[in-house]
Amino acid sequence: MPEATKITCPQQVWKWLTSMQLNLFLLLIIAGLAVFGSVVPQGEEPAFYHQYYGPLRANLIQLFYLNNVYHSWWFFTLVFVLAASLLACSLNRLTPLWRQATTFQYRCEEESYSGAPIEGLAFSPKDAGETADGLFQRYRQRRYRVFLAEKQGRFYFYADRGRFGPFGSLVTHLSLVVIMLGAFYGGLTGFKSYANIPEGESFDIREAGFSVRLNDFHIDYYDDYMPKQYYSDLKVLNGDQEVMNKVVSVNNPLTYKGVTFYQTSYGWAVDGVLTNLGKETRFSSLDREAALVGDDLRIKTLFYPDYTSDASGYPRTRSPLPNNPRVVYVLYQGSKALKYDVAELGKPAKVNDNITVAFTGFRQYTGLQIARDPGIPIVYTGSALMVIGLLLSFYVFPRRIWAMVTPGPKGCRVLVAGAAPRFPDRLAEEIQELLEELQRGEKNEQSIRK
Amino acid sequence: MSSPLENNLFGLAVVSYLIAMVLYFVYTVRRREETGPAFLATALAFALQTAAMIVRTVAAGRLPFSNMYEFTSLFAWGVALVFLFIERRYAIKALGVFITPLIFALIGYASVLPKEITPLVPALQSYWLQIHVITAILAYGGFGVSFGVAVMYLLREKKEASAKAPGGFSQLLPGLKVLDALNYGAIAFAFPFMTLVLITGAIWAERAWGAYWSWDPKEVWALITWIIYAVYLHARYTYGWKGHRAAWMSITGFLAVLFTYFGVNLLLTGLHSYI
Repeated sequence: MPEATKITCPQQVWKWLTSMQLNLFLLLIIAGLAVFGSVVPQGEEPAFYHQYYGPLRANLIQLFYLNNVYHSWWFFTLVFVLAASLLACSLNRLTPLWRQATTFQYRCEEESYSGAPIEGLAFSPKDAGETADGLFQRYRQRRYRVFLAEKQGRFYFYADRGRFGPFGSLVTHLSLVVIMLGAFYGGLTGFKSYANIPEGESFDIREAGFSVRLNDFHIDYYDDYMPKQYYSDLKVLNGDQEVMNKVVSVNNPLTYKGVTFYQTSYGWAVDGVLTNLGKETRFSSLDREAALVGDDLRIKTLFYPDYTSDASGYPRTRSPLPNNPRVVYVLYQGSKALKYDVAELGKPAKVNDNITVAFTGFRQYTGLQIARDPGIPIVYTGSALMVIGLLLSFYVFPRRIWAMVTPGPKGCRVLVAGAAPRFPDRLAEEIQELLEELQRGEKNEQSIRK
Repeated sequence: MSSPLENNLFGLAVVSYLIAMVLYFVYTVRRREETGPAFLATALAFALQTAAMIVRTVAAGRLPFSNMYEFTSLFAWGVALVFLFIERRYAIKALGVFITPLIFALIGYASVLPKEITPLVPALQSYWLQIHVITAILAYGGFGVSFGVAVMYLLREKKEASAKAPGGFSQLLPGLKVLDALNYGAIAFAFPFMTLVLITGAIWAERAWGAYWSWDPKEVWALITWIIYAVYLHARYTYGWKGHRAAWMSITGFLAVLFTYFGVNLLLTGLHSYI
């Protein structure tokens, strides 16, 4: 049915798109799906779900993309419809809001007072002109915008405050659209990658056309060897030319040409040489990463800076300081493990008749997240707009007051109307107070002083 | 370890909150409307807790914002702050009976958590930590009070519906209209701060983790909380969902707050492993 109406009746689609039900429904659905996303582990291999949830539930999870909720097509669709709906709502309200904030009309008919959200009537012993002037002064003093007109002895009065408050909701909703746009744009045009760079090595960022080199890496420790902070001294290279140099640390990234380098992790790398039938292969191997050392040979290393073994013989490190460096390694030929051993540096170890391995040195490597997200400024602009919108919505109290002062035999008759969508009761009280003062015929000065 | 001075102040604060809670209960059972001493006990507890936090700040050389003990204590502090403000300004009858148990539960839980002053891991070394946590405290404080008020609303409503003879406990509760307005007021106060929690968290996450939003369970649950309160506000403006429904939504929202805070840590795994 929605398809049919889409073609035949755009107005109906517009109405549907701008309805509050749709927005609230979408928000709740998105929240509900987000719950799944937070409970079901995201982005694992299919085998993981089969093992963990059993075949039936694993298939359901994959059918509904619950293993990747936030990047599934239907999540995008929901967010897209929400953005379209928010935008449509905002456009719908723009003109009336603008008109209401920038123009006003006196209420000149008695009937228009009885229809107002707040209304009241008072008889003042003072004459009409003095009363009208009193109103004018009273509300000007209270920092309202005030207008007064006279026609055939009657006075018409209008005052408002916080007239841009109603824009708060509009700005807030638009800000959400801006944030979503920023996230979408960043996702389309940005990239994110991860690099482990040993000291002295460079890394090419293909997406950006320049490279980064780690000059030096060091860690500050607390007394218990917990890392206090870790620092990578990075050099950005454009070809052979150094274009930027900065020491990055956690919470202190480097940005060059929109590409940001974030300090995320660190580890050890060992250098070595493998001799196979007299042929030497030099290698550099990062902790837990396999390095290729020949046609079908791979080596996996784990560096222990301050080696010891625990009661059951497992390798341990006493501290992160290189007091007693050892390398635990596994050498694979194809998928077969040829040798598993603990090696000292500089001492060649014989694996078999043909192969010997020697570890020559160790270095630290830095783990960097490398990302470009051109959507960030848009998202932050949206966030700032949202704060402004919420301030206007929650901390500005828009109110409008109308009055008509008609001269009578013993003073004048004052009709008052008011509108305050946020706190009608507060304005009603204020108007009640005004009516009582008018009735008593208090002097202007008194009401001002109050 | 935390210093003996801090421990003593904190212990006294816990005891004072307990006394405040007991006093509020006794006054309620005795149908007494004047609850001055209970209010004073709460204020005293609040002052003692603040002093304990100051001592800890001095000892640690940083604001006490960064582990489960510190933040749970702050959570209680935030609820107490908003409660004291409302109580002083509006003198809502019997509010204390409903809020002090929440404060006491939070600070009681904090008191059994490990209290040692742990050095900050690198990701937490940012001034965004302070801003992020302060906004969270104000938001959670407001939501906590709105939760207590929503419970009061439902109780009062039930008493009114059962149409028993006047008198009794419900007499002590403020009118439904006042409770509903207060429920809204507390949420309207807290919601902008909740928004700031998300925004400051995003800015900080970008600097520390390299992405302003990672769909980390803590982020997701904070967003879910935000959505629930956003729906509350819209339903109120547009459909006039006040009173009964608003009270239930407010309770749901606070359950989401509690889950974001405790549930995510206990049941789910993610980046946000400090608190």
